[in-house]
Amino acid sequence: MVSIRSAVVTLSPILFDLLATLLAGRANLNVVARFNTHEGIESQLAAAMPDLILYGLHTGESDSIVGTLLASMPKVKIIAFTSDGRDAFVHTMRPHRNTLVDLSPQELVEAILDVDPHLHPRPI
Amino acid sequence: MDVPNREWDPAEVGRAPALLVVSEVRLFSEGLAEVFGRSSALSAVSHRSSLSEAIAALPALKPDIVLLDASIQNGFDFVRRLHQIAPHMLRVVLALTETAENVIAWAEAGVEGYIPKTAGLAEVIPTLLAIRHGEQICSPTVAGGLMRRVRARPGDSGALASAQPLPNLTVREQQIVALIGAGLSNKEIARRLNIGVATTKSHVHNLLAKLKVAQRSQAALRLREQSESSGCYRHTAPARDGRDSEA
Repeated sequence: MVSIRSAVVTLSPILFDLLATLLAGRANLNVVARFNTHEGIESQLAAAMPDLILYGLHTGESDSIVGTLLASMPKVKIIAFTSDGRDAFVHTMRPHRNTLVDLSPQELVEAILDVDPHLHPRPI
Repeated sequence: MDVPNREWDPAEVGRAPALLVVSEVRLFSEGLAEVFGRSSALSAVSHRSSLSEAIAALPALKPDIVLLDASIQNGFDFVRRLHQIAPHMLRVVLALTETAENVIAWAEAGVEGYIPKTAGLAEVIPTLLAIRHGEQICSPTVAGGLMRRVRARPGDSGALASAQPLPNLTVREQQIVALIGAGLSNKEIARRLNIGVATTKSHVHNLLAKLKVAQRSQAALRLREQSESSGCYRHTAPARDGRDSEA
């Protein structure tokens, strides 16, 4: 089974658990970093070297932060969720950005499984 | 409309309940239904993405519990509507930001319980089952807010006896109960009101019977609570010369 190094940023517990449960049997979300705030996380995220960042946007917040993150981690995949969990934005190498409107569980699972877990060297 | 309106049967609480998840967010409605559908603690799990769809599906699905996403539009109206058409169905709100104001607002709309936004997925089903048994875990802040709310309700100060309206007391009986509340003895009350001690005792006996309490202190407490909570029963305390004045 694929293990995906994941960083979780201000995502509701139910949403993260839901993702992990839906993925069960196909991929394991190996959480290497978890953040309850957006403040000053760029350097910490880069140090964690995740393959995937699950980023919970605050109400009304744009996903422009993702550009900053991708600048320092060009190979990471970032899935930014709107605060209500209704929609998501999947960012891979800039400028690729895919919007998932009225996001379904299956779409989300496929978006996560599309991550290449061998993009980043593992710390020894 | 043929709606489920089963009689409440405590024995049914031990049976695995059927759950209906209602959320406009597809990820939640479909995802939660899929995950919860694997649980043996629930007999059936279904989902709907709008309030109208949910109401239309009630006759066929006959859920025991409706789990409603807190972010849904017109959620309060939906809860009230559910209570009207299926009063024995449990209504639980999901992913609620746990403030006293939010909890009270949903409780007043008619939900039996809630699952806070900070809860993990593994907590949802145990919490639903606990709510079905009449339990609700909440934060100390919410508990404090609920206490304040109950105390502030007009005509319901939380006192045991204040659930019943106060009987009519005569002006003299109101004066006496006010003096009892001030800590005066029968002898002191008699002196203050310029009446005999026997007469005072008779008044006390009568007002205790009217208030249906056994002790003088209970009578004074009840009158004070009623006065504080509603202001509708103003008692008078006599001045030292025996003339009436407002307490």
